[in-house]
Amino acid sequence: MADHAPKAPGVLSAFWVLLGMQLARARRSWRQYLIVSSAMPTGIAILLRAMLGRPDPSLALQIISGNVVLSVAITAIAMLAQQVAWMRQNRTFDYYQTLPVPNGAVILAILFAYLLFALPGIGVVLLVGALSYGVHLHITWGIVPAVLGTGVALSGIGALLGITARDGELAGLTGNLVMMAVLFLGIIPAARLPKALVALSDALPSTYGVRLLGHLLAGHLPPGVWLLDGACLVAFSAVLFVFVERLSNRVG
Amino acid sequence: MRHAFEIRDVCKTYGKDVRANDSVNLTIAAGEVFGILGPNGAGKSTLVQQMVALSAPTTGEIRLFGERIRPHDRRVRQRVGYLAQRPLALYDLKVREAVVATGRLRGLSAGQAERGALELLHAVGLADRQNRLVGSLSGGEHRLVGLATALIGQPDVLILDEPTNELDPVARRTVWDMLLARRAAGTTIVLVTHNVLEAERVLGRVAIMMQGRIVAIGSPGELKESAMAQVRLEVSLREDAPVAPEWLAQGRRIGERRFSMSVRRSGLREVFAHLGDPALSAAIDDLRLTSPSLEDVYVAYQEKGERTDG
Repeated sequence: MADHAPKAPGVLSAFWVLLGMQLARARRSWRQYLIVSSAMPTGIAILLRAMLGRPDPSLALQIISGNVVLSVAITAIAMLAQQVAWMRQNRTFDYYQTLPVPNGAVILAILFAYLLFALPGIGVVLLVGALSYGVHLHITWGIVPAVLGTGVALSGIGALLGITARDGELAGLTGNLVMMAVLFLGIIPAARLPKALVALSDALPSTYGVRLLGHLLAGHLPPGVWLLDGACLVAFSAVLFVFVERLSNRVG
Repeated sequence: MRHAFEIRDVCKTYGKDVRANDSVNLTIAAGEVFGILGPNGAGKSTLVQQMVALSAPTTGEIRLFGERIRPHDRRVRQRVGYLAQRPLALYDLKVREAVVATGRLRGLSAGQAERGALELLHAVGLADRQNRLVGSLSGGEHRLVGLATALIGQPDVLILDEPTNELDPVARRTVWDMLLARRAAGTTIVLVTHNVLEAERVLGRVAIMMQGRIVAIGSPGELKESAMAQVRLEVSLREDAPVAPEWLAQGRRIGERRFSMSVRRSGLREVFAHLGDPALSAAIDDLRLTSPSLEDVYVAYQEKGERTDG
C-alpha cells in the first residue's frame, strides 16, 4: 500500500494550531479568567493600601508588581494545574498523543494559552495599583518579556503539579498552596523575610519576576538585575519545560 | 502479503496481579478490516492503546508495517487515525474547527484541512452543525465528530474503538458505509465493537478476546462454520401468552417476550416436540430457525468463558 500520509507539521505550525485550540477555552470561560485573575490581586492591593496608608514608592511598586505576578500565578499555577490534571484524568492527552505533533508543542501551547488568560487581570491590577497608590508606572515594552518569562516559568510549575497530582482536586489544592507561597514571598520584600524563607523565595521564579517588574515599572532597570533575573527566569522555564515534557510522555 | 500489524507475544500487566493482555499473537494484513470482539474488560482497549503507541507492552512487541512500535512513536501517529472509546474532549471548539485543526495537526495545509473537514462533515451528516460547539452536541453527534477527526488526512490505518456507540440506526449505517468505502480504498481498519451483527458487514477477519487472550480468530464465515453444529432458534410469544415454558426460558431473553437459544442440530427433534404442544404453538407469535450469526459465535464463546470461570 502506498504511504500517502501527509508530512507531519513543523513545530511552529503545530504550535499555532494548538494555541488556537487552547485559546478556544476563553469562548465559554473568559469571564471566569478575567474575574479570577483580577479580583484577588486587586483586592489584596487595595487591602494593603488601606492598611499601610500611603507606603513609600518602592514598597508600593513591590506590592503592585507582586500582585501582577500573583495575577499570572492564579491562572498559570492554580487553574492550569487543575486543567492539566483534568485533561490527564479524562485522557484528553490521548487525542494529542495520537497525532504527529511533538509533546513539547502541546505543552507550550497550553502554557501560553494560560499565560494569555492572565493578561486582562494584569491590566486591571496595573490600573488599580497606579490609581490607589498614586504612583507613576513606567509602562514599557520590557514588561512583555518580563511577564512572559515569569508566566512560562510559573505555568511550568502549574503543569508539573497537574501532571504529578493524583487527581484534579489535589492538583487544585497544591496549586493554591504554591500560589499562596508566590503571593507572600513575592510581595514581602526579601529584607523583611525570615532567613529560612529567603531560601524558599530564591527557589521560586516569581521572586525574580517581581523584582524585574518592580524595576521596570519604576523606570529604572540596572543591567545587572535585567541579566540576572532574566537569566534565572529563562533557566527556570527551560528546566520546568524539560521536566513537564518528559513527564507528559508518561501521561496515560 | 504485507502486514499492517504484527503482534507477537504481547503481555500487558498492571501491578503484580492484573494481566490485561496475555500472550496475544496476531497479524493484520494491509488493507484488511479486522474486528476485535470481546466482553467488557477483555483487554481489547488495552491492546488497541498499545497499537497506537499510547502505552507499551510489558513483554512482546508490536510492529507497524514491519517496524517495531516504540512508546509515543511519531511514525504511528502519522499513519494511524484513532478513535478512542472516550468522547473527544475538544468541547470549546466548533465542530468544523475541531476537524480542521486535527487535519492541520496531521500535516494538511489549511485549504486541504478545510476541504477535507467539509467533505467529512457532509458524509457523517453534521454539515448543518459545523458551527456548533462540540460541547453542545449530543452523544451520538459527538461520536461522529470523533470519527471525522480520525478519518481526516486519510491515514493508512484506522483504529476505531466502538465507532457506532450512541448512534441512531441511520448514522450507524452511514458509518459502516464510510468504512466500506475506506476498505475499498485500501485502508487497513481495526474495529473494536460490541455491535457484532452490523460489523459483520464490513469485517474480513475477527479475533474474539476473553480475559486478555485471543480465544478464536478467523473470518466470520470460518467462525460461524465452527459453530455450525448448532442452529439458532428465536421465539417471540404473544402478549397474552402465559409464562414461557421452562425449556424456552433457559434461552437468552432478547426482548420482553423474545427468546433466543442455540440448539444442537441433533437436538432439533426434541425442540420440534416442544413446539408441537398446542398450548405453546398457540402462544407463539413468531418463530425463526437460522444458522448462527457472528454474534451467536461471540455469545457462545462468552458463555463458555463464564462457565469456565464458574
